[in-house]
Amino acid sequence: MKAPRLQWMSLLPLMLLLITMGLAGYWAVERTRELQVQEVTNDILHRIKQHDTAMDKDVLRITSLQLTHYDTLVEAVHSLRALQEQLAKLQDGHYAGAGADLAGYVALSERKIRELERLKAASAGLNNTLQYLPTVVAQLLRRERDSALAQRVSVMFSNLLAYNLLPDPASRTRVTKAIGFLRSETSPDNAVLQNIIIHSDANLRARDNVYELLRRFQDIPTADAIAQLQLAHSHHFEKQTERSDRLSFVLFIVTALTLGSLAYTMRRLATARANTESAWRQLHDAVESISEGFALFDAQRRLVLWNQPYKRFHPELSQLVNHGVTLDEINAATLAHHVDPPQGNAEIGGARIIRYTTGHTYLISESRTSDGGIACVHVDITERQQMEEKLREMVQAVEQSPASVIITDLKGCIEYVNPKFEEVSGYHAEEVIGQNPRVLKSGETSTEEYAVLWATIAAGQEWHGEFHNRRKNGELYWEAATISGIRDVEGNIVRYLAVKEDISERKHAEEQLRLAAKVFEKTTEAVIVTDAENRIKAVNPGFTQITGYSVQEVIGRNPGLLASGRHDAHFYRKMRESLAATDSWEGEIWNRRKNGEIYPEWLSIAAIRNDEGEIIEYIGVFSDITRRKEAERKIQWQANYDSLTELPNRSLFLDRLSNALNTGQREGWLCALMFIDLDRFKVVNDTLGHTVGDKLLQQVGHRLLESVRSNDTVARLGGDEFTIILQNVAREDNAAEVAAKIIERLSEPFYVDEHEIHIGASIGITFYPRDGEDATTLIRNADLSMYQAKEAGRNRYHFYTQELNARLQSRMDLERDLRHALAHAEFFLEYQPIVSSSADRVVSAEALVRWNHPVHGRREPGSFVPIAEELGLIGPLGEWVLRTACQECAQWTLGVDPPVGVSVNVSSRQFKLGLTPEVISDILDASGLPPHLLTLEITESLLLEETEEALAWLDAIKATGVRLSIDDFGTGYSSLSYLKRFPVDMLKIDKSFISGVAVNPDDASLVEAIVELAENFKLKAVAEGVESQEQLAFLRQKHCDLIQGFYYSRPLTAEALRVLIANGGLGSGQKRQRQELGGA
Amino acid sequence: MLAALLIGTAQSAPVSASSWRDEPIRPIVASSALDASRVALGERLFHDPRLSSDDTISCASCHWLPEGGSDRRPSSIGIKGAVGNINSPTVFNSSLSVAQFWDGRARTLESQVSEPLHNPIEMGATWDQVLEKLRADAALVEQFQRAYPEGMTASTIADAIATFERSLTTPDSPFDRWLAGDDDALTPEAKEGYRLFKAYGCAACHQGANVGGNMFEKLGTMGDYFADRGGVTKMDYGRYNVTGDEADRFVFKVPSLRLVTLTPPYFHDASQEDLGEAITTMARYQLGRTIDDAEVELIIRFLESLVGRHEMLAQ
Repeated sequence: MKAPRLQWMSLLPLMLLLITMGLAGYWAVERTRELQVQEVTNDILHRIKQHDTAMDKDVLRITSLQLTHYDTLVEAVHSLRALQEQLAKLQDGHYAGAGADLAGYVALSERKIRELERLKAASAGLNNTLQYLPTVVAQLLRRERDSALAQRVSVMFSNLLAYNLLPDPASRTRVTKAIGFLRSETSPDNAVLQNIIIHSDANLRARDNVYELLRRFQDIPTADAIAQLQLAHSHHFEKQTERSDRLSFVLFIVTALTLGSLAYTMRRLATARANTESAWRQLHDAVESISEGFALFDAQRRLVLWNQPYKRFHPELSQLVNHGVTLDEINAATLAHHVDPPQGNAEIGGARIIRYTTGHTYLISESRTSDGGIACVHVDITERQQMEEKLREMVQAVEQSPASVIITDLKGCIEYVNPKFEEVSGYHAEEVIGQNPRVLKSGETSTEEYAVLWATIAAGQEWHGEFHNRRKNGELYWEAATISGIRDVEGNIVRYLAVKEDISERKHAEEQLRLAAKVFEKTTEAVIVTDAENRIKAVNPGFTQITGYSVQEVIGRNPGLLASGRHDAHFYRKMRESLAATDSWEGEIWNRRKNGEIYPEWLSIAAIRNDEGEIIEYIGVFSDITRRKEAERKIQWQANYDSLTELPNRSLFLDRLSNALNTGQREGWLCALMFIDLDRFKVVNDTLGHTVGDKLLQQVGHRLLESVRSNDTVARLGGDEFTIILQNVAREDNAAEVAAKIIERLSEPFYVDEHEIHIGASIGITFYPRDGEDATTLIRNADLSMYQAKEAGRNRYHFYTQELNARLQSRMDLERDLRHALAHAEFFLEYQPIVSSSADRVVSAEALVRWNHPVHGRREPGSFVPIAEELGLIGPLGEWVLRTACQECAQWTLGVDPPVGVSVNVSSRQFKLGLTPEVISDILDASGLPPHLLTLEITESLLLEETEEALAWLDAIKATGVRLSIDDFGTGYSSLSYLKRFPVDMLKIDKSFISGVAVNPDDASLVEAIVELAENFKLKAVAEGVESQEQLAFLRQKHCDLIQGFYYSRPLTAEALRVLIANGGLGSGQKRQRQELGGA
Repeated sequence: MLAALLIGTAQSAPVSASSWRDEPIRPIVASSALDASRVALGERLFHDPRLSSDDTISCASCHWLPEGGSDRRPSSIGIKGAVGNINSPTVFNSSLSVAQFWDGRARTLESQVSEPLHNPIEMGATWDQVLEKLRADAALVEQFQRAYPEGMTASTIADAIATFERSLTTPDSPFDRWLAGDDDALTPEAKEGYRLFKAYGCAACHQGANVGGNMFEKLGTMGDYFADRGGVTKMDYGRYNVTGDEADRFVFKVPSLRLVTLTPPYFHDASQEDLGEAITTMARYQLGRTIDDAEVELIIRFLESLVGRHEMLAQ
């Protein structure tokens, strides 16, 4: 009955063992695979991040035009997509949890790639305009030279370049404005100008577009998405790890159960055997065969069984040991031989270590048997104790070792780790005991290397090598390891011992060094390393390329060998101070190449300190910024110099002049300013062409420079105008001498392209402080003097004189008086009647403004209206005229039938000075004059300029109900097309034609044509300036009915006109009488 | 400081240790590390008319390698004499491109393969059809077994052809030798032509190793090409047909100029037969300027210097 059951009982643990092993195997395989997936995924994510960052960086380089090709971007895009695909496959196969995150990131990445494509296209456009513009601008400047247009193009282009270099809204506004100016310009070579405008516009658009796209590109949060993915990924694997931990816990439980049942089975077996005689014998034999001392006492504590080792261990009991002796007797007998006093009551079931006076130490364990007996096992552990003692010391050493120590069994399962291991790996001992050291594996060590390792240590040799491991927190670290076998006394390897040292820092440093070395070799920037005494230790190929010095030539020398001599001691002291204070210095410095050439570089120096804080070396990195400097200098130069003659331009001239005046004032110097205008230059230009003209100007520039001292300024203001500033002249005579010399030099023949050219110069000279205290006055006076010299017959110089000054003064007085006049009601109006010759009555009158000057008396409009226009005073003056005319007309036409209207001249300037339809309506309302009685007279020139705007203005005015008339018709331009386009009602034939109708057939036919034209366009025609009967007769014959002029009446005061109208009709016979009335 | 240095050079290191001239155009580096057995297989398939439904058209029919990898026709001729609707580009150096086709609808060479295969006016076939025919060829099947663990499948066929196409690069052109530092590799005319090519802004788009091919750009950035040409068809919409984005209308992949002198006619619509005229057209619509005939000639001299070597390309 019992035997099958026993068999079954022994089978159960076997099965459990098998299951446990199976589970453990599955778990190990699964875990390894998971770890591999984790490593691969980590790696892919890392590389995705690298490519993404590289892409961002390249995009920045492209938009700043540093990267001129897109190959690296294409590679980045290809790599990114390939990696994303790999990642997707991994996720499909292994974990779906982060799938959504991945899809989200891929969508972002694709969006980013789309933006990237746009950015590439836009940058190409920008690049295109920037490459082409200099060519086309140069083309225009070559042809235009110093015209105002060339100036504007230069200014625009400089601003455009500046905006491209340093974009800010202000400079963008400047560029837009400058382009706007160009639109209104015309050039003989209009195609080139248009090209400049188009490409400048395109450049601005492309620049803006690139910025906008760059912003959009940078706003796409792929970096975040990648970080999210990494996070999701690590969460996922943390969960995996948790699962594995749970699994291993289950395995542990199963193992415990297995062992438990095994023990149970064993006990059942033992009980069963005890019941049989044979079992007893077997036990006896077994007991004898073991090396431990064994004694069995029955329930009455009497000795029933012992073996030889037991007796041998206890020579003091040799007499006593025999069947029947009790345990207590034995204990009493041995107690005297114990070295240490007994510790408490010896409990049955425990184990004690007892040292005997014999020098031996025994491990004594006493346990109860199932039948109430006591089994004592004595183990001689003397040797072990001694060993342990030694071991304890060793363990102490191991425990405190600065190196990680791991002891594994032969299968590699960890049995022991020391505290240093815990510190380095981040794992607690209990987490790794029983594990394989591959928990630390990072995947960076190849399987081949592991194979070599195992082969080496299995062969009993020591293995030295490095591991790239992973800490519990995921961090990678490097360890240098020595692994060897631990042998038992027989020399068999029973365990493996690994002593490992964390060399991450060393590795990291090595890695950095390696990278730094690579950078050092590859970078186009020069790198120079010196020791603390500033002796060169190393330079890179970039250094050689920039400076021309080879490595051998500079090692051990002081970097001072590069010094250009351009910087003073103060400069270098500042540099040393900065290095001492902040360990760094950065700035622009001029150095000298081996070939002697001086060049600018951007240098960054960093001081490197050791752990003690002492400076051990300096590292300098510099790049040759010659090209950048040249570009800066070119822009600067373009802004200040005339590109043709290389003389200062107007802006630099003004700067120099103001400096000269400041210095003059401080030092009490006399300064002279000369304005030079070439005589007959225009002829040269027109007959021999611009190219010859340009070359001539260059030669003139040279001769001028030769004629003055080196510290005097010769500038070209444009065209053939030059100026010279003579600083600190002793006497006025000296300036005259210089001027005479210049005239002489410029009168000598010039030779340009086989042409012998004779020109001359007219020079105006002013002196500071005599002729003016400020630059504006001096310039104006010099200009005036120059014109006077020209008028006086060329090839001569003129000082600024009082007469010139007086002319100027009177003009300034006039300006002042004009401003005054408006405020003090010095203006008044006269009206010249417009008469219908057939009806013989006044139909309208033209208002004419007069100025009653308090000193000079009555002045005609010709002497002040142009100045009023120039000063902008025509705005308020014109408005005053209009208001007054409307008021006075309203009075004279009151109760008159048919009514008599008024014509008022409107200057083209008023168009821009606020004469809006609203103002006109207000004036009409205030005066009560019906709008159709007011006629505004405009000149042809207004119609010709800015047609669209002017047309809109005229239409709006017309809409208020007033009439429009064209004044001085026929004197303007021949195009009459505007008559159709503008809403005019009347033409006034200019008096210059009328005066000739009786004698000049041309005038007669012109007037006839105008009258016909007016008829065709259904316009009224008014003849102005009619003075004689003959003229009147001609006009009547040609059906020109409306007449204005002395023949009928000179201009009258409002009151006189009112009387005239009130008196009714106007016969030709009454002409004289009326004139007398007018004159009254 | 060290960190700054490291950041400064984080981008990919130059392929070769020798230092190239710093120019917008990069040298072609001979393709390496391609599996020779797959390249050989791909070459065989590239010339195999069984990829078409009636066994008449192979890849090589329209990408005739000795003459520059295109067919020099306005549009290619497909099965049964069908005429295509767009100019076929060269297959040489196509691996350097950002994407395949004028409108970039294939991201990879592998995904490009099945398009002409399925196109009814090109090869007009299906994978099932093609696989059935090819599986009857024991030698070919065996060749596949050796080259690919999974043997012959649609994707290994595509992979083999793509791998072969990756081997079709044309390194060692006179221009590349000049880039490598050989001053005598270019004639003075070609050098001047290259200067003009950059000064006129051509190099803004035609750059990189493939002198183009690595970006997309609108045809007619400075002038309305299509309004002037007239007769706009769906093909002219370019990348819009792929993305549906209005901004992509009339946008095309910038074509490579590496073998441009060998591959007339020009543009997606094959509207120019003459290279000089093509340059003039580009200048007008892409750059907004005119280039005179003498300069056009110099630019052609430069373009001629871009042609490199490949054993299958007749020299």
